[in-house]
Amino acid sequence: MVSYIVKSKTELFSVIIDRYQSKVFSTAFHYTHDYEEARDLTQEIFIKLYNNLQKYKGKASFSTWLYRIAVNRCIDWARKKKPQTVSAICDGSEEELDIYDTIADSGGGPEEDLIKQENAVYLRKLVESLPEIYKTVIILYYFEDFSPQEISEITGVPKRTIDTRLFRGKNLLKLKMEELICGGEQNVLR
Amino acid sequence: MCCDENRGMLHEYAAGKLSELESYAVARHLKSCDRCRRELAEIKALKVFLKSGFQESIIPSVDLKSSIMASVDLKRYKKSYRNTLGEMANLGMSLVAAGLILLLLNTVPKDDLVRVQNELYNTGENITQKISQPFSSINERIDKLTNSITQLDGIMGRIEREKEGGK
Repeated sequence: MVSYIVKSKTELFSVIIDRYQSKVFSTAFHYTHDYEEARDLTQEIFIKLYNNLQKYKGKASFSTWLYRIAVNRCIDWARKKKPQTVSAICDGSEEELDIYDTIADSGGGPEEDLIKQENAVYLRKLVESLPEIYKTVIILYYFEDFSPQEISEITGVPKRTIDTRLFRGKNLLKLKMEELICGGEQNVLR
Repeated sequence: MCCDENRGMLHEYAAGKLSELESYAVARHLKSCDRCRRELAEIKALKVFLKSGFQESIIPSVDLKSSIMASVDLKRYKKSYRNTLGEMANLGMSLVAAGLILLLLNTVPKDDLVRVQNELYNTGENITQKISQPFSSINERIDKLTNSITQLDGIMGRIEREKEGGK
């Protein structure tokens, strides 16, 4: 496909967009948490991809190469953006603490589902507040369903390091949640 | 299998990306290790919990593709490919010219040399059969004719001498 595009069949690039835009957009959204920003980032990623197609040598799979471009662009975006702290997410108001208090409650009713959704939004913001090395692996593993091996290929970091970052990232996330909810006394993942 | 070795495989195991043999080894370890079992439960719970925020999956707007296609330079590779074709055409012409020069320098291709040698040998044979042999035959006949002429000359001389003796 890439060789066809480079050999003047540039219209075929739309097929690549069709195939990968959802996942690239989703990845960008997990970094930005903003629909328009994610849209702009996705557009930039695909333009960069198109302009660099001749550099693709087939050493890695095409999707790995594409996600490498996507993740690097997202990391750049996150670095340029002022980091959002956990305290900015939760200012300790009564209302927000009430929401976190119910995270461990896994009731199945519609009201509980709504609360759980709201909690997940806070949790995603917690992910956003993680140091970049943990945030990237958490996003790629938990939201985008990449395996540790695939994350290693995308980021160019050894798989053993990815395993360690996933482990530490999860524990860091758990710790932040526990701190926010009840001062570290409760395990919210159970 | 020790815990440290296993823990490195738990995320892969939870994602269902391990081989059958590796999965079996991890599953076996999990039966006897509370710590790794707890770890795996946390990974699975976090995955479900984080994804629960996405009741509706994140889908890009329908015009994103057209927007990207409008932003890329569709002539980018057409230009470069046309240039490449031009370069290839020039290279082709050079190769043809070089070939012609080589052809002129070596009018008889190497492969034909054997054939030519065979033909030369056959031609030699033909020359022997068609020219040399007939000539030797002619030579023999000339020799016989010469002898006959010599004999005839001797006879004629004797006859003349007998005529002079009879006078």
